[in-house]
Amino acid sequence: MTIRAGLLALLTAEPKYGYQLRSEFESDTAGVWSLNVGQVYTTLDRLERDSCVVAGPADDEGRKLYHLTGQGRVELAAWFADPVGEAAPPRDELLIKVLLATKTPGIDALAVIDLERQALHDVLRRHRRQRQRLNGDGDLTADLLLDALIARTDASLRWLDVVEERISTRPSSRASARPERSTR
Amino acid sequence: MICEFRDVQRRYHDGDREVSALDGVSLAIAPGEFVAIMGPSGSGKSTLSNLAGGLDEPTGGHVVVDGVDLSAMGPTELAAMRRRTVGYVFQRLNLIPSLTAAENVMLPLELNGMSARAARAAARATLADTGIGQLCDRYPDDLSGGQQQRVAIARALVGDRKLLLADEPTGALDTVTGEEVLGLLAARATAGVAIMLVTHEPRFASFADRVVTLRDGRLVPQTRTVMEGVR
Repeated sequence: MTIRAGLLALLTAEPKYGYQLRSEFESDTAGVWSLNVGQVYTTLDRLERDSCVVAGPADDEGRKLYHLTGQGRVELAAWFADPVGEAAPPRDELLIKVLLATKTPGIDALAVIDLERQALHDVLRRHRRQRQRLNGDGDLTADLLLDALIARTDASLRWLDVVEERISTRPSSRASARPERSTR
Repeated sequence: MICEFRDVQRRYHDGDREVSALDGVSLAIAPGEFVAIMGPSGSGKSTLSNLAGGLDEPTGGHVVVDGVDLSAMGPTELAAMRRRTVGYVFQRLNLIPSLTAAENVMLPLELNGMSARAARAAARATLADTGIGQLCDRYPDDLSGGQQQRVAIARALVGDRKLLLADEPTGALDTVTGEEVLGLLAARATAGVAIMLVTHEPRFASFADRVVTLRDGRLVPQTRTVMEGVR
């Protein structure tokens, strides 16, 4: 659905060739989602079948310009108007690993949290350096993508803080998470 | 090293109970290094910052700032060290509302005995370094939150102080303004000032060269064994 809507969005400004749609999809999403040529043409075929685009005649090199139709515009508007939300809990390895760490005998959950935290701080620092390198070059797409990556990493780190707080204040899980300290 | 904690302990008495705020902390901060201190509430972050600034004394171990063991200093020397070597930025800015931005920044220099003329010149130069050179004559009430924090940072840096202690300096600021303030601190670190930032915000800690985590008064080690009996 995202590729389909993405191609419709790219055709809103003007008719485009298939190869052009592929490279613009990648650059407009800051390279987060790379497409192969096959995916682009398969999707264009389906859009044509559903009357969302029409293909012009092939030029000398066999390339066709694709035009957005009224039906395509309706489908695109519906996509933007339908919030993504979140359908199901994400299948996220960090989430699964930490949940299991709090339950698995012999695993020091706080040690797992510490290692993940260190790694995420490194990731965040890399994003930050990237932001500093980009500073002032005016690429809004790259800026917004970095904002998203920073926000997600920040959220994961905050979640780890909450996990640590919860397992530290719950006597039963604390006992299994690590040995009680004698100085406090 | 501009700031060194050697096996530092800080214990308090809470009624009959002894509470350990810091327990065997060793940490060294080099000139120009930007270190973020993180950890849950009550883990000892602010205690660490207060010890570095001579605002609190350890019950064991040593705190060495700019080559001098703070425990060897008398109150007068300690007060002088606090004015000359160390700068502080807190969430509460403590700017004096009846003084202009420049006058607020001049204050510590004048307390050190500098002439008003020299202090004013230094204050204006430092405010320019923090990006608000054009706002020297404004009063705090006429400045935005971010601008006020820049004045507080200028006041903490003026007079070429070597160590800046920042305890939740972005607490009252929105994300974008907070990031600007952190960018400013990072730039000062690049210029050679050592910075110790206490924060609970990972996105702000990411400006630092190094993040250290405290838990129950101890530094969390960089390597951990996750499973009993398996290395």
